[in-house]
Amino acid sequence: MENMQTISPDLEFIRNIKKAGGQDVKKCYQCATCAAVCSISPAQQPFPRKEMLLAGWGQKDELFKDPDIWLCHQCNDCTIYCPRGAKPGDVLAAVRFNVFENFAFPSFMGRALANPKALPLLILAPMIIIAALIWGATRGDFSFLNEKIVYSKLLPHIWIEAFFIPGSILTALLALAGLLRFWKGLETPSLWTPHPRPLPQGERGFREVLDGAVATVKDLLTHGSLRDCGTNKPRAWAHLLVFFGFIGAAATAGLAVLAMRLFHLDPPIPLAHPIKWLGNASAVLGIAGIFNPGLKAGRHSCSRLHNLLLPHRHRLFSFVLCPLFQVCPHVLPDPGSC
Amino acid sequence: MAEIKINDSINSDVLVVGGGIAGMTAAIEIAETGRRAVLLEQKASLGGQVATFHQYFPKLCPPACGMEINLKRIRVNPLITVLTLSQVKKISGSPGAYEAEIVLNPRFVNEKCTACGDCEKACEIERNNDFNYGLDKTKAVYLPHLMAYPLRYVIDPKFAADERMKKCLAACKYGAIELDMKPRNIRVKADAVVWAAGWKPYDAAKLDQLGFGKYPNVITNVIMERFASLSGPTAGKITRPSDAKEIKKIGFVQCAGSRDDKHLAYCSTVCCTASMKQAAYIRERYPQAEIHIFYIDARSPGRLEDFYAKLQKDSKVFFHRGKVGKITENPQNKNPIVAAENTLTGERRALELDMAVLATGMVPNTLDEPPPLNTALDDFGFIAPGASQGIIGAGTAVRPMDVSASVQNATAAAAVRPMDVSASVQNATAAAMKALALVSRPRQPADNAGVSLLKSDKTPEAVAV
Repeated sequence: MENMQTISPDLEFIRNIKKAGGQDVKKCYQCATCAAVCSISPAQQPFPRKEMLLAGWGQKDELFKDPDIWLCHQCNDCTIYCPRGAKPGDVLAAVRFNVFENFAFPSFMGRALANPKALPLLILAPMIIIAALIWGATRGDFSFLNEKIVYSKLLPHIWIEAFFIPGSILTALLALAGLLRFWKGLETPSLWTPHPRPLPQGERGFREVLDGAVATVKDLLTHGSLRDCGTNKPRAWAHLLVFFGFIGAAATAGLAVLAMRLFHLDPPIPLAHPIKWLGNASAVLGIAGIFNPGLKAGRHSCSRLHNLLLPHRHRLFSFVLCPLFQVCPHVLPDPGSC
Repeated sequence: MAEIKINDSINSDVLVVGGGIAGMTAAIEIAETGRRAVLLEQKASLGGQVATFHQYFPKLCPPACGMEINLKRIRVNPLITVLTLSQVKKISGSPGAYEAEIVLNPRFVNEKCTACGDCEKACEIERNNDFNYGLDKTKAVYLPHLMAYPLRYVIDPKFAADERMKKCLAACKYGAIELDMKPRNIRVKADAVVWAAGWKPYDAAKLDQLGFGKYPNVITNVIMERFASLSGPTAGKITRPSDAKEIKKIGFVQCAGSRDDKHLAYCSTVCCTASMKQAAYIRERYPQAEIHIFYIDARSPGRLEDFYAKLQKDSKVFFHRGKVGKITENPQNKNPIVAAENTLTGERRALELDMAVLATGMVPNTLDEPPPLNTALDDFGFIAPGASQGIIGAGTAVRPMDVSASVQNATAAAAVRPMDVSASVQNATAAAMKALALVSRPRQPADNAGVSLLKSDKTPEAVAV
């Protein structure tokens, strides 16, 4: 009994989990069906059964440094087969959301994302910035609209580059700051997880890291793990399309700038040009992915209201948040589950 | 036409519906206090689910022990009238004065049958043997099982009109076969009604991730009892359905559909001990076999804990704490592969087995066929406690229970919950007591001519055709 330790549940954290979509977390009775049905859970220390226990007991610090919550692809096989309706998929999403909220830098951005009331403001903010840039470039003189339409007269390239290139760098730095906070959390020793966390191979050599990185990139590009999903399989294809749509769009923008600055290929780029092809193809992929009918069909049966409304909310997020904030909707509670 | 051995109207004290262990117990308890009981069974023989078992837990004795003595008590008691192949169509009245309309379905074999088996030998038609869950076949004229009561053949109604059955008719030297037998309606008057309709296993095919019905070597606990039974389809050899090889490594999947809000939300209380019992008899018959039991909580209530503790010490029995999430199949050898996390070690494994047994729970028959007179049922279809104003539940009609509880319960009331055999018996005894409380008039002699007629035939039983 001398090994007995007292753990104190963080009740606020449990409330946050419940608020963020994990309202059924306490229904879990630890049968471990979830960990067994999950197609991507590892053989050692599988998830999400242990995360359900930690969440139900309010073990915030443990969950914040639990890398497994980031392995989850939210395919919801666990939620479908959970005998108690505890919805492990939603609980993990709620945990991720809390982690994001906690580590985001600057912190007010994390809190703003957490608050649904702030959503209009978040959508409005970039619009205001763009409107301000347009105003700054044109000084309110829109007479060029009467001539042949040239987009760069509305917002000249130099303005875009001057604002968005440093903007992107700043975004990347802020993301890095958040990531560092998260990484520091991972290194804190704790009651539950041995430190350092044992790796399956028992070694942390360069070779293992490289192999792991190669495997991860391969999995990302093919969406292999997501396609192993049983319940939400159709979402894998939808996601793959949107994923390559955005990569294509980013590549198009970068190539267009390079083409303009290095080869003086001034826009509008002719329709027959490969960069134009790439851009149009990316747009088609993205739209096809977002409106993939399988996206809805693959959802498990919820109330009719949820089925009707939530995929649309998901699409709204995909449309608005991804391009504007470079924030993908995974950190938000999955709208597909209820 | 053979003579009809019972009256068109029977005056009785208590009508007991369901001829399993609980109903039998209730009828016996009632009759042994000197009251008249009518015991009604839907199938061709008494015995219910218990008759299909290989062994009872925890003593590991065959159902013949217990059933035999009860059958004898029924056989010698003139106050019990047994109606097989019978169904209640309607019950009217109130406590103290019920009247039931009952349909007697044709057996196509009359009381002259001596169970010699000549008809069976002559019969060409085969049917799926539902007593063995379709694992083998019987002839269209068959004996329900070895302990059948009444010990008399029965003809599957699907084939009664078949021309080929004429051969059986010719083969019977006692004139026992009547292919033109028709259903008959009779009335039973009783002061009380005990409902011991029993249970059925949960339909394992609804558990899509566990592969029952898809993979041949995934079976259920009730099927295992038939495999193990010496009177079963394999004469007691526990073999894989895919290739008839005897098992070397077997797994039990506890809570298959139980404690699951999408299937059976409750715990049937018997499946854990039932699997342990099966593990114990497999160990005895196949000392080399390896047994894996996957559980959420090993529930062995009361003195059954000793049984669990004993099995835990067995070096060939492995308990894994964690429910099986899914079962897949090795396509080469048709081995089921069960996936589960052992929550005590934090390891997730996919274990390849020869055979997987799904421990499915008990569904009360009252769920699909509710008792008459608006008897109140609980959320799961069991007869609700306190609903005994009219119909009195006994055995697994009131809650899941084991055989012994069922017998006790039937003695008390005769049929209200799911239970193991012992719970079922206790409950049935209690039900019988409740039923007797409703019987107000003085004891009367057995009043029906049928009984005395049968006695004159030197068959000391009151059995309806």
